[in-house]
Amino acid sequence: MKNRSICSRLMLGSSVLITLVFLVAAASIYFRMKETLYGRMDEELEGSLTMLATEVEITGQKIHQEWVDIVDQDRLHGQDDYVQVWNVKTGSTRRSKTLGDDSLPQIRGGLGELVFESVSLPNGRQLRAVGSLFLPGLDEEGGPNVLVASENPQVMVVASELTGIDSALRSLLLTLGLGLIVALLLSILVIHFIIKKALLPIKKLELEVSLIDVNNPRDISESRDGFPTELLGLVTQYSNLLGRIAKVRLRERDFAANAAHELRTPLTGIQASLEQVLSREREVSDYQERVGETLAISIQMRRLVDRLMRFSRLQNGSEKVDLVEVNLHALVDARLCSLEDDLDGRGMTIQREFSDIDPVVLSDESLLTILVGNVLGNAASHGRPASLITLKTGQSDQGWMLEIENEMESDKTPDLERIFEPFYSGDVSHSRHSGIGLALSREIAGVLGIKLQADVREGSFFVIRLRFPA
Amino acid sequence: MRILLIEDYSPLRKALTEALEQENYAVDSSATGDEGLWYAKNHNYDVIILDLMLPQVDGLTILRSLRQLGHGVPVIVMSARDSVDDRIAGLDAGADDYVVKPISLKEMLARVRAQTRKIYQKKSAQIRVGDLEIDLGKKRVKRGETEISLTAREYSLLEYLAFRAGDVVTRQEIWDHVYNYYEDASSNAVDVYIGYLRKKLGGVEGESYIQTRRGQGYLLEHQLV
Repeated sequence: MKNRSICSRLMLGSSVLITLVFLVAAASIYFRMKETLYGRMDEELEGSLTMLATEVEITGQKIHQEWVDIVDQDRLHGQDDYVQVWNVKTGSTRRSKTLGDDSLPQIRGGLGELVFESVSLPNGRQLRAVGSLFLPGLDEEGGPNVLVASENPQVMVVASELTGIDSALRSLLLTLGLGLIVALLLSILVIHFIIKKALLPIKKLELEVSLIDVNNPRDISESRDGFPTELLGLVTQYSNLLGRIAKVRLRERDFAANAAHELRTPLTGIQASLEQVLSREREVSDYQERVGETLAISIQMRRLVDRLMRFSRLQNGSEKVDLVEVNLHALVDARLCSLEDDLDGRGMTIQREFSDIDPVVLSDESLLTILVGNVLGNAASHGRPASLITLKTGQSDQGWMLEIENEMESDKTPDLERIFEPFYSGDVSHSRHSGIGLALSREIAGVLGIKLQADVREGSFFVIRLRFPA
Repeated sequence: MRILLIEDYSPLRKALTEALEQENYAVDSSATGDEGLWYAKNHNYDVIILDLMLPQVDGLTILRSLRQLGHGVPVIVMSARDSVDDRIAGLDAGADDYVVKPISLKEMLARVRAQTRKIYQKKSAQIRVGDLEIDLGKKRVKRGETEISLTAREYSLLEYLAFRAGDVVTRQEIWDHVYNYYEDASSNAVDVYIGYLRKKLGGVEGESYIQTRRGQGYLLEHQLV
């Protein structure tokens, strides 16, 4: 898709709009002016016709056209006046000298009605004409009349040349056209300047964003005062985005550092143990002991790698899930058996507050075993030595719930937002655990549709709650 | 030389402690930050090897605490964190050296030797006192062209005296830097080993290297008698 320029679009839109406004205004002025000029001419023509019509009189047996003398002697307006009268009864006509042999069109309406038209002569001259059907007047001084006026209607057409008006209108049109072009050009220049000026903050924002170090993003909302109000939302959103990026980067760094620690330290242990065992001659039993220790580290590392691989499979959705009915009490008891040595070693005891009914949940037994084992192992590792771990099960409308509560060893409250991140630890050392357990648990819970929540109760009790789907 | 090793990972701590002891260092080791800090504050060490990610108190906190208290003991930070920022943080906190895991024991021992030479202002891995030559790397002692066979304890004692050649060294200093605290040695053990050393070093031409300063201690220097 072609990228469009905001500036070009604004310019184009503004130009079209301004042109339309100017065209409408110019047309309005032009037609208003034309109407005014024609109106004045029509008034003059009407006046002439009204006056000249009185100069058509019945005198005895004749209809006397006295207007001819008036027009020909130019006593009315001048050479530009064209007049023609028709006797409707006889079809005879009289023209003013200015017409020569040309005839005006016979314009008429009802008796006494004035009809205005723009007409042209055969020689091409454009005229404005008014015509009317009227009855000739009676010359009372001429003796008894023979002709009856009502039987001798006349049509008079008075016309005047449009040269002056046309010239004035052409001049007006030219002026309006030039004015429109100049105004349009000036408007475009001003709008272009305003748009460029208005878009400068976008360039500034672009520069600010380009200067941001991805590894250490700074908060650009500090400089929000320099941005127009329309861009404040964008600046705020950018700032929020950068904040989220900074958090992700921090977590990535922590993950890398912790993963390095978890993998490099045992590797160093293996290397140091093997180097040391080979540094001098030893008894066979000593060799066996050292190799055994190294093997134990290797097994520990293999478990960590297995967990990381499983974590990765769960994250990318390639872990297969086989749903079966699982007795939650039996599963918890089985996991507690495997933790017996750890619990005894730290002097911790288990208190069961189980429901009377055995909770049977539909889940993947293998994954659920890991999940429950991890959260129980977490309580065994992080609980205060010689304290109590309380296990509760219960049922609600939403399904079965398993809760594990332990007294915290450290005074430091864990960061509940980050507790399920891989290798996250409130304590900087990972000596007693791999740091991947709770992260793996969260992924398993997600796959099995279990809601996994962590909470701190009464300041010193850490609670993990598993809510199974109904 | 007395070394403090603060490392929470037990197999590594065990191997490193053994390697250091094999090199005749007196070694104290600690698995937690708070215990390690207590050792560092209350004892006189030639070098401290410090892990960063420790339980209770982390390595950087230990390092900063020691520097704030004015302890100038050389500290080698040994960490899995390998980023430039981590190294800078370690060195800026007062570390004299920063090594990234995994590291070879031989390299770690060489770095410990380098730090001990530095505090006693010895540029070379060989120390000469008269015609006595002590090779710190190979742990060998020669007088002229003749190699002198010493036990591990005798060598440790001579090495410490050689580092401080020209200075009077008290019995307590020898005890602090050469003997492990857990060793069950009698109060005159230092005098006994000084005697052994004198016998092994004593020249046929009547030269004596280790002199007694009554009420003060011992002095290693080449002096014609």
